[in-house]
Amino acid sequence: MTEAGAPLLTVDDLFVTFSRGGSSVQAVAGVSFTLNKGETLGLVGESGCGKSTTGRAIVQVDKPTSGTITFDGTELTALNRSDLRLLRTQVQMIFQDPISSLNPRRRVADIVAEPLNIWKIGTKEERRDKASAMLDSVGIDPGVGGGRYPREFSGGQCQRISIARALVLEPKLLVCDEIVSALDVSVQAQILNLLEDLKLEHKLTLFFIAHDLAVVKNVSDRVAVMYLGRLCEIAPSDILYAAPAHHYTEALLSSAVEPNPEVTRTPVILSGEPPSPINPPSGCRFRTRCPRAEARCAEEVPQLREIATGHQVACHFPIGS
Amino acid sequence: MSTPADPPVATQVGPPLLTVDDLKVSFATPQGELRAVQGVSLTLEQGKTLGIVGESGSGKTVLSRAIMGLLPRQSATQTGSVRYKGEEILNASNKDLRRLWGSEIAMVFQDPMTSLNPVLRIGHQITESLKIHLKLSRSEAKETALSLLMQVGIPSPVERFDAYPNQLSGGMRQRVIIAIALACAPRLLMADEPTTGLDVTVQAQILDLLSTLQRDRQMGMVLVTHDLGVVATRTDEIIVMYAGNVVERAPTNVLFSQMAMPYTEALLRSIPRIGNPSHTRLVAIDGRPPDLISPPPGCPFAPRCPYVQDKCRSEKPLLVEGAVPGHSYACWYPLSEPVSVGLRSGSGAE
Repeated sequence: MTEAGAPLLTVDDLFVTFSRGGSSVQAVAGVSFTLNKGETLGLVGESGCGKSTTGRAIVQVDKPTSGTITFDGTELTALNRSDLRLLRTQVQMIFQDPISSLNPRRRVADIVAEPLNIWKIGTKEERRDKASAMLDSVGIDPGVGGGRYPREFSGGQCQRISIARALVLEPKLLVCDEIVSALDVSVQAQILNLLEDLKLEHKLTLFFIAHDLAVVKNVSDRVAVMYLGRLCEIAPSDILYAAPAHHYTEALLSSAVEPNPEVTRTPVILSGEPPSPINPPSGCRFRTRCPRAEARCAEEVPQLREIATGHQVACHFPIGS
Repeated sequence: MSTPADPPVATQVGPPLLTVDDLKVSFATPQGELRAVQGVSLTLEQGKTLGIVGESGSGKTVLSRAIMGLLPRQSATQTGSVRYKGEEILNASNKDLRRLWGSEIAMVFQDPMTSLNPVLRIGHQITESLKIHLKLSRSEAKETALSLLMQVGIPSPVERFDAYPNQLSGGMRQRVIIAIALACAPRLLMADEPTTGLDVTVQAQILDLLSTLQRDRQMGMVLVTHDLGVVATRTDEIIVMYAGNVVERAPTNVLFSQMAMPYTEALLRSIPRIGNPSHTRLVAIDGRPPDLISPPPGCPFAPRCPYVQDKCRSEKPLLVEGAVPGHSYACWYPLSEPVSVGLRSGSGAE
């Protein structure tokens, strides 16, 4: 066992480019961060900012164009097929749509046992017991629910089954991509609480991707904010939400709605929508919508730099400086 | 600037804009009758905004579609009354409804990606109703449509007029849909989850746009959403729905400060708050909503309610008026009453 707090995952200058026809899109354009053992790092951003692609690149579902991803001392981008398969027992991913990510023609107990079958771990009985125990720990009665098909379950229950399947191989890192965005709030709370319990129980490290700022804050130790393929800011969550340094983070936070009629904020309403990633603005990619943009922002790409312990921001004119 | 899209002078005397009385909607399914809306009553005055909040399956969308007259006649049985300016429109003929749709009542649907016709230019989709309902000429309709596109914040409207929906982003499409809905200056706007699926910064823009237009035009607006955050600062009154029933109804600030129904409280508590520290334990609601084909006999929330008593499981509470005017709730043991639950359960109040 390595001590807690050591980096489990290091992403360095990650680029993911998709090409179609003559044009190409830099979905991820130079993203670097580390994820420490036992930590939850949240990644927020609007649709199309590249947050899902970042998660998929870590699991190597989308191949990085350049950059390195080091997991537990192993450089992933250089792995061959069989080593990559082995890696996937350590790094698991849960997706947004709980219903379509489960095979509709297989029984739930078999779905959860499948990773064990693939890796031929234990005897048949041991696998079945392991799958039952896993289902039980996510709140699905294995005796009643194990023999049923996914369609017989609600969205929240299907997400529990997805979590059980992801955890049955006892991975070290779990990448969660918008896992509660399709769920009702009352069910969302159940799943978030469950994830928090399982994280402690299985000593998990989480990479939690979502667009909902309050959800991300609730689960994360640190939060990274992404805009148009680049990171704007990374900070411990309580600091990021209390004192954002990037103008985009501030705008995001101010446009979040709160279930409280007393809250009277003066929102920083951004004009327009994010520009196309096919033809991103020069320099700082947020400058076209930024209230504080100056000539320098168009010329020079702001690099992530530390402005306080653990608080990094990529802005020439951060808030509060 | 006087275009047909401008609102008429609002001098409303007489019946409320919208009155719904004991509306029930059920669908025939192979398993039995699914009772999606089980007796809902509400009123909406001109110039006011009503929020309808509920989780999936609560009946909020069926309710809004029943008000609009958009449910299929063959499969949906609708009883009760829906009156628009005093005129009964529930089960009205399509001919009568067509007179109201667009020009009097308009709807903004949930999914901006599929609400527009993908093979027609957006200009055509906006001018269509102007030509039909207001009998505008082609050039008048185009002029009005351009002014509408400007009002909903579409940059370079002249170019967008000839664009196809797939050339616009989700936020832009929702603006176009709002422009279509407002084209004939309706008096009542039904907005069903108008910002679900949009990014937060765009959501803020669209909600602000709807509020501004609603105020400027003195429209009545019904805002249907699953998100208590969306309705908290943008409505005059809120109705909370659960399993086909209205379980609480109150002026917005009263609902948040003096909620009486345990479901409303549970819903509010289960939402993660941006103001709370990280890793704050959420208060989840155990279980799931009841089956609408064979609902339990008592209160529909009883199986999940933390304060449940025997009476709740056997007798269904009706919506009753509370101490504050306009506040009503369907609960035998409402939260705001200081009497302890133990005492009340022995009192045998009917």
